[in-house]
Amino acid sequence: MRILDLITPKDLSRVAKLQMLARQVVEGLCSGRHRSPHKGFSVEFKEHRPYVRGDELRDIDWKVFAKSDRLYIREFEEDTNLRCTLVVDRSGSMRYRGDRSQGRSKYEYAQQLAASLAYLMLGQQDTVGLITFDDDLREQLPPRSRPSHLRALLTALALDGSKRETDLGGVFRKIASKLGRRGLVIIISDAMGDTGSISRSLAHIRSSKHEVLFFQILDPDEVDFPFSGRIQFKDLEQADNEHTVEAVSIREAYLKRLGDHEAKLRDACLKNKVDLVRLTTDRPFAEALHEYLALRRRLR
Amino acid sequence: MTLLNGLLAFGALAFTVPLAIHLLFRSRFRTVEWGAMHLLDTVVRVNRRRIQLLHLLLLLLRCALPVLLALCLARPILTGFQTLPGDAPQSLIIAIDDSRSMSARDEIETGMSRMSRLQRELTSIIGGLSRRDEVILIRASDVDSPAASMGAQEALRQIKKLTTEYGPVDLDRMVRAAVEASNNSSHPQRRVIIASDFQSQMVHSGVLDSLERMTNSLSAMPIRPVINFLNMGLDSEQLANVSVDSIDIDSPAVVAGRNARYTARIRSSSDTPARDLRLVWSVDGQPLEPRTITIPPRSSITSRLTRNIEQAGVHEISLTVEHSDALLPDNRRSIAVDVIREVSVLLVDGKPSNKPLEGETDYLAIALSPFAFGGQDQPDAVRTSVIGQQDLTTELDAKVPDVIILANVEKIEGDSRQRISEFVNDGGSLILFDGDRIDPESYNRNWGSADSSWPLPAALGNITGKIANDSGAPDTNTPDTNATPALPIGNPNPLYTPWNLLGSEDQRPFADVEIYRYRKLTPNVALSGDDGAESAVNNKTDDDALAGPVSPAEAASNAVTNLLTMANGDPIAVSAQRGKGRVLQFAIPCNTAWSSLPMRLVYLPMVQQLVLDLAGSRKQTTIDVGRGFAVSLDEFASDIESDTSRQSGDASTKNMANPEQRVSYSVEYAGEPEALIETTDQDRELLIASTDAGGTYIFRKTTAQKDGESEISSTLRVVEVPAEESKLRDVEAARLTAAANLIDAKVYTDMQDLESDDRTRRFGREMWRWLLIGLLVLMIGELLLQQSISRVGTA
Repeated sequence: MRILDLITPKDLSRVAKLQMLARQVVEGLCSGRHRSPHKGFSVEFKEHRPYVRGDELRDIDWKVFAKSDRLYIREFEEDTNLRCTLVVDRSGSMRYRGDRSQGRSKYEYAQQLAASLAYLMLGQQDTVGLITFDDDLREQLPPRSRPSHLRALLTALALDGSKRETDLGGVFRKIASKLGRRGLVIIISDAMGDTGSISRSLAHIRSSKHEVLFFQILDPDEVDFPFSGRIQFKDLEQADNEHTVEAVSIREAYLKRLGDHEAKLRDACLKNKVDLVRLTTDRPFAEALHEYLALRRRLR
Repeated sequence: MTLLNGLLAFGALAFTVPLAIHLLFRSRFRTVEWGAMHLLDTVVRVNRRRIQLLHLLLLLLRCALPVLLALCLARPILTGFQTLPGDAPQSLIIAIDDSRSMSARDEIETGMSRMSRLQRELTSIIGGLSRRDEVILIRASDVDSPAASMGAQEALRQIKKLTTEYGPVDLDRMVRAAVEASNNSSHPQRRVIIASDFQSQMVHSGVLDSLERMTNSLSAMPIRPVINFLNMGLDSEQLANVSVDSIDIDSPAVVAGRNARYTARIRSSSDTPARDLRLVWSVDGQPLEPRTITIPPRSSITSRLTRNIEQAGVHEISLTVEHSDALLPDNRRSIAVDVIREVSVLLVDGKPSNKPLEGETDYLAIALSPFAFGGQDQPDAVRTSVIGQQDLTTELDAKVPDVIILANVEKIEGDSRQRISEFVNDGGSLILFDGDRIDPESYNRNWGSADSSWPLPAALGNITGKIANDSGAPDTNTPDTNATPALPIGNPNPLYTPWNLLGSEDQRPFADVEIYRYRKLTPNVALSGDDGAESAVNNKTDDDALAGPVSPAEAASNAVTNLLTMANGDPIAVSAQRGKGRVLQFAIPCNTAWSSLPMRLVYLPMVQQLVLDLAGSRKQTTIDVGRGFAVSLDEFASDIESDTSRQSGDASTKNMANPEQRVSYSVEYAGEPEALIETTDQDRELLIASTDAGGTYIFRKTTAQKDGESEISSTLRVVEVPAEESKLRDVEAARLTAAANLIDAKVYTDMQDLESDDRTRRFGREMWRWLLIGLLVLMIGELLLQQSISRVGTA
């Protein structure tokens, strides 16, 4: 699989221009564009400080000593790489494909978004890992920064979505235990699950000092429920779950229920300092991503 | 229940359309593989039952709509209210109040009267009758006439001709006449409509009693009619009306050439003053100088006219108030006045004397003809002739007087007695003055022959009181008043109006009259005095028994009236009708022998008023509309005698005597063309059985002469509507309802309601209006339910 199988060249070029800046500086093995509070060897000078006993002699700036006859230690700003884990929901509910989503299901949208992010971050020499899940963890790729890692990521992403139901709470708890060092966790899901459980799982992840970014992917049909007439709704996750209703008669009730759900999810994210971005599949994900990054830049 | 358009009821099957659509759409649905079932599950689970219920309800509503629409178009009728087959022919009996109050204009601005409204409404009702239906019209003014049934067209024609120139009517008479007419109607379905403005005088307590008695007779009827009251008059008290309520003649008799006074009462029922009203008196249609008056709110004023009518005969006096109000016809009122010639009084002196003022009738002659006594040029109303008893027959042969006065005549026997009896029977008036010469036994016997004999109003008894120096000489004419105590006298009877001008009871006009002696008078048959009617001692003698038993009606007409009494109640002057005439008795003489009456100021007007009253006209010249009356042919004879004699000598007498002359009589009234009245030789009077309209009725006698000329003499009568009709006052609603309830009638104020109820009774109650309302409600309900379904779960 190639990246271009998932992303159009146009989108790819736009993604390449994006810069993602983490809100927090995380530790990393590779130097990158992300600033780190840890000081070490690096090429970017930060400041001079007077020599104290115990400092390594190799850190003394001899040119300054020659000029001023004083011993100063040169300090460099150490750049670290971003350890990012993409957590992508491939449950049955993500397979919904509305008429207005340009032929993309939510899962396909999530694939493209994850691929874009992976490409972007690998291009910045950040390490990118991937976890896909439905009712359990499915594909797991540890974070790597090698360019060749992109192929593995895309391959994992390219797997079809399952028909299983989502258990976001349980899955997130398992993910938290596998994340290892602190880093950035990007969750791409429709968040169709118990918000209480999600909230607890997010708290669990956040307790490991991970920065969490939650992309909620919804189809426009799920947002405004445009159906009319008699409709049989068949569950994409459970084959035997279906409701035949007069769509108009439940529209307002559904929208209210959706509003409640969104509010609870928003509260959960806010409480856990998780950035929540709702994306609908009719919007170009690159634009949505750009808006988010712009937001992160402002918060910097 | 029946359906007028039964076929349209099949349209109710259209309910299958929404049902089929429902079922069809239920089996046809689109499948959507849905991702957010997590959210939808909850919504459907919570609202499933409610949605199902609402959808079922919606389905029912949608099915009910075509059913209701079809029923509505089919016009269902609840026949539970039906009493008779609706298509059965009916008899419609309409009793119409055509009294004057029905011409009151309730709507001043449109000028539409109650009768006009009624005519319009009745035209509408009758116009809707079928050709098999019959109508019986009963006019309240003519309830006694046999009612005839007619078709709708004839009924409409008669209704258009209805006028409102009649007097008050009783509700019970209208109802009785209508119910009786319904008995004679042809069809088993009978409706009675009593259309009136139901004024208060229509429903007095007697009417309620009568209606209550009618209840049983109604129940016993084989087919009981449905009776409805249609009330055309409401808020009568609010109508502003000015009316001339009455015109009265103040003078006891109207004598040609002498002033007579007339008083009219004008009433305003307006809440605001009626200002600057133009008042016009007219005599024989000739208007006099107008006057301007103002009537305070809801009050009456009087207007007086003093007028000298030179010519004897019947004349019309009328008063017109020029004012636009609710009831225009009552702004004018007329009376007919019989103007008599000089009153001729024959004084029979029972104790003549050559000395002045010592004759028995001297004071009386002076009192009756004061101007002649005083040598003045002014004519006296009364011309007196004094004769002795022996000349009575001769004098009566020569000329029949209006009044004969017997003053202290000892006894009247033989031919004289018979002539006086006939004179009274023919309408003459007789006055008896007592005296010391009177033989009571002669007077107490019946006067006249057996069939037409009559007793005096009071039997003569003993003389009461005595004179101090009376030493066995009862004929002393000069009592010693110093020594004799005067007997106390009472007041004149206030009901005897001619003496009202003497003074009121409080003024005691006879207070200074001293009476020393009087004859005890015992009234015969019945007595009607100050204290009302009471039984009197039947003082019949054996001779009286010849007259036979006295019927109640006769007794009432022969009732004796006390005109003046002593303080102890003994009558001094009594009066009674005898035959066509009147007899008046005094218990004292007409000179100063027993009393000082002739010396007092009250004597002259007392005697004058008395004689004028007795000689005055007894003719009924003003008649209530609707009633009949008679005009004596003698009236024309005397008219011709007086009127034509000036033109052609004593032609009338000759004409009457000449059998070859053709005589015809005619009447003209209320703008109608002059109509001939058929008479025979035996007829003594022209008879008008009932008056159709108010106004002046002019009767003419045309005597065709041999030479082709004709002589015409005329007289008139005035027919007026009683003033009660001008007092617009509705009967209380509760009273009218009570009256209606007595005969199971219903009161309506709107003809539409009456017709609607009748349709319900005949055909049953139509339901389409209610169904239409139900349909609209269901349609609105369907819309609301639709809205409600789309809002499920949002609450």
